[in-house]
Amino acid sequence: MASDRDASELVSRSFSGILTSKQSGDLTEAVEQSVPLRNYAKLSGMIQDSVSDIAMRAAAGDDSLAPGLSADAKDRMRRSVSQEQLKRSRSGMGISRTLGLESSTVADNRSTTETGRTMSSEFTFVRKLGEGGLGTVWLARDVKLKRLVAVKEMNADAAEIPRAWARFHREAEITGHLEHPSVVPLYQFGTDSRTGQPFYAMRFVGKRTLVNAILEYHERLNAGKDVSMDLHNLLTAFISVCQAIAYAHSRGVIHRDLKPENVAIDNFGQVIVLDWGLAKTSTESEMGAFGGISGMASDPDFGKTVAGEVIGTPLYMAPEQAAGNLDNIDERTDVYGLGAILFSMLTGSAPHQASSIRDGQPVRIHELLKSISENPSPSPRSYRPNIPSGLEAICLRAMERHSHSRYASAMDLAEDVQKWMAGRSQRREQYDNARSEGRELRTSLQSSVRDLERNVRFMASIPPIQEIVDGVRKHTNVELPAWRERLSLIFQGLLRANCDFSSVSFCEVADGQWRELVRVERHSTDYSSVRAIPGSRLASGPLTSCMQTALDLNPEEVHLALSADCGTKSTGTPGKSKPSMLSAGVPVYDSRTEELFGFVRIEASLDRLIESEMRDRLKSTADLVVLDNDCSIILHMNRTAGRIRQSEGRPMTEFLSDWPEVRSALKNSGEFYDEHNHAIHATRVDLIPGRYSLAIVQSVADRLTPRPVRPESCRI
Amino acid sequence: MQDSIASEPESSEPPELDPTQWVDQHGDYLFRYAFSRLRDTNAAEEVVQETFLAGIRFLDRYNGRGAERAWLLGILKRKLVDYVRMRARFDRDGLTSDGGDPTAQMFDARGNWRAGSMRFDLPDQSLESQELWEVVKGCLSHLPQGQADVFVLSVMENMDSDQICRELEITPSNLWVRLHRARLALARCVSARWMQEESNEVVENGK
Repeated sequence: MASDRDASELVSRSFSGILTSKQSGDLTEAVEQSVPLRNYAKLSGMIQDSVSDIAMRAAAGDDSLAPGLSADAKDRMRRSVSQEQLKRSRSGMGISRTLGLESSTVADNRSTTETGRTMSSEFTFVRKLGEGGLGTVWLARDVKLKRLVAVKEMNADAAEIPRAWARFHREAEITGHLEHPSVVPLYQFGTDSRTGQPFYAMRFVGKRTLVNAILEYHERLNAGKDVSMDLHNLLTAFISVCQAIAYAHSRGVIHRDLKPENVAIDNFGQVIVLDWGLAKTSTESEMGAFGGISGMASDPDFGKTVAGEVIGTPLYMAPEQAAGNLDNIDERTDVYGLGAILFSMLTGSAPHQASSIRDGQPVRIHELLKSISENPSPSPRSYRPNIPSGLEAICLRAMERHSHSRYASAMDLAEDVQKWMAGRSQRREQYDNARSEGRELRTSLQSSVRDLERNVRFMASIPPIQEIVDGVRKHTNVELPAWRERLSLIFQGLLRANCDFSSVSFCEVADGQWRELVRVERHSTDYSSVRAIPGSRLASGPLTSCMQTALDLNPEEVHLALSADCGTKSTGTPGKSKPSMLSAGVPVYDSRTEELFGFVRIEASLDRLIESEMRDRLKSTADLVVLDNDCSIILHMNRTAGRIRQSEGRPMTEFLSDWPEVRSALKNSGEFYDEHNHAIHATRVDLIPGRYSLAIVQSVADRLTPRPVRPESCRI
Repeated sequence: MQDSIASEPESSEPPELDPTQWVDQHGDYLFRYAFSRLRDTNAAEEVVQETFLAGIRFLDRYNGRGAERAWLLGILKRKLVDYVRMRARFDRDGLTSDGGDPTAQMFDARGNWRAGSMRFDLPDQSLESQELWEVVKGCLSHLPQGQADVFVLSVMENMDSDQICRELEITPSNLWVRLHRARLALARCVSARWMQEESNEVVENGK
């Protein structure tokens, strides 16, 4: 077998039963030789069995697997089912009649005097989609082509006003001249042969707009769900809008009324920019390109009329529009409108929403317009603090009050959003890896503590312990010095095999006092040196409450504590007041009398235990920091600089301005997940349940460097 | 003929279905089935609703040979695959890449297991399937969508590799890479979580 990786691939393939006999033989041999591979194969098998079992139970209708549909969902489905049934029953009888709606037929007859020929179209109205001052939009069926279309019909009242008629015509012409996948395609412009009112037919794109998508995104965000894909989809749609507007600009058309309501999203995610009714062409020469448009933009009254109408939707308006500076309206006005759409995606509110209300009452329109034109643009973070900083910067630049400070074009804006998305995708992957590594480290540390427990339990059960108990209690005539020597040798072997362990001792307890019988410890500076303490130097003293707690346990039960709490002789770094030793003790009973005799205790150096687990861990992280219970740094490692000892002992608040938020998440849920910026990940490691925890903090992108702050009391 | 042993001929008319009863009679069942595959409440609800609507549209195709529930389940299975395909299309990252690759974290440059990457205690063989499933479910939700979906289609829906490749428009080699990465990442995640849960139990017992 070439490598473990190749062998693991064979294991994966074996679950689909497509191994050749040679591969099968190789795999059997590899599994016999490698414990990790055997573990992987066994565990994968258990996972496969578990998943298959659940699949079968779901098919068999096991209702213990998950709750059923919610009452709301059932109501919604019942409504959908009955609507669909109704629709099916209507389809057999003819839509317009059975719907009972006002049925109308728009027919367009055109005759050309030169040839005398007549061409006509026929649309049957299905239902009204929307209504504005200028016209009404209908869902209609193209009778000849047998397809659904949207028909915008000019209202009878508006048709009496020549300028409104001209504007309606102009809107259709501008829309019709913009041929882009994200601009609604216009099929036909004409007049109703019966009423003489103008209409145009265009593609029916459904009723879902960016407003719906933004609302759904913020609902999910507020419900605490994973919204990374929703934001990705929104930004993808935003880029499409930018591209459509950039195309319109290239044809000399400025939209001037960009807002989420004017962006439709069809069932396949295609984005369509609607409502070009307020659009203007930027130059006379480009007007010529549109052939039939007869000087409307140069009509001074036309601009004023438009300005009067856009007041109806000022919440997304650019300052130059609000100020009525029509001469200053250009492509960058649309860049502001695009920024305003991005703003509402990020915050769930229109940019000028806050300015439109004062003391709970809506402000007057002219006051709002004055405020928009005179005040700096709002900041997205003032609406919602957790917005990714990169996106906020893009939004702020697009919405600069002075148009010359904005992006020069809609494409420049789109490009910056694309760059942010690409960077985020890479950062997210890096962050997820760091998160996974942090969790592994937590598991490893907890596993090391369990090793400590196992070792102390084992040491308390070996035969020399009972021989020494017998000797001290004089049950038998044993050679006490020889057994102490044997136990000392075993203890030395234990310390040599576990470089995290600092000392191991066996103590007798009597009359409220403890007395060491055997003690082996690691040299405090030369870690490789392990020594047995001679009998004359063995320690003794009064029992502490911590020791008493350990002694109150039953045989083989392990008591974990900090050495400082347990009043033991610590070999930690001199001068550091914080606890640096973990102590595991297990009571020893006299097997003949079944009375309590003493205890065996192992002390482990936290510092070394952590550092040994850190090795080879810095893969996805720039900086990794381990904090002790009072939020001061025990260990700080950097991917390039290695261990940074200057940071050790300093409070975390000096390194991270958002530390209170991180600490709060650690206290409450044991993990801090930075879903917006993917910069910091933190996880809590409970070493002594309820009393002593560590925190692992990883900074994915940036170095953690100290900053001056006031000291703050803290406990994880 | 009085002494005939032939069974009565079946009616050629299929039984009449009543869609107004579907939500109450089959909603929970179909939802649990969909949820076990998609791991997302909204997605499962959407697929069940689509199933009911498609059922109404294709009422005339019900031939009455199977149970109503089995017929709806057949539609649901089709809708599940459609949903996964649509989700993959919208997830551009999923189309262009396989998502996270756990191999770098588990193997060194020479392809050998990294120290500690498979250092775990295996869950007890007699473990409750439900208990293990809870852990596996959590891990599935952290897999890249492109990996989790092929794993579910392969293991839960028993689709063969040709079918999966055709439905998701991916190559066989891409499918194998995704499945292998999914299995590696699941093993790694389940073992880590399992140890974590055991530690938590120790903590709780310690209280």
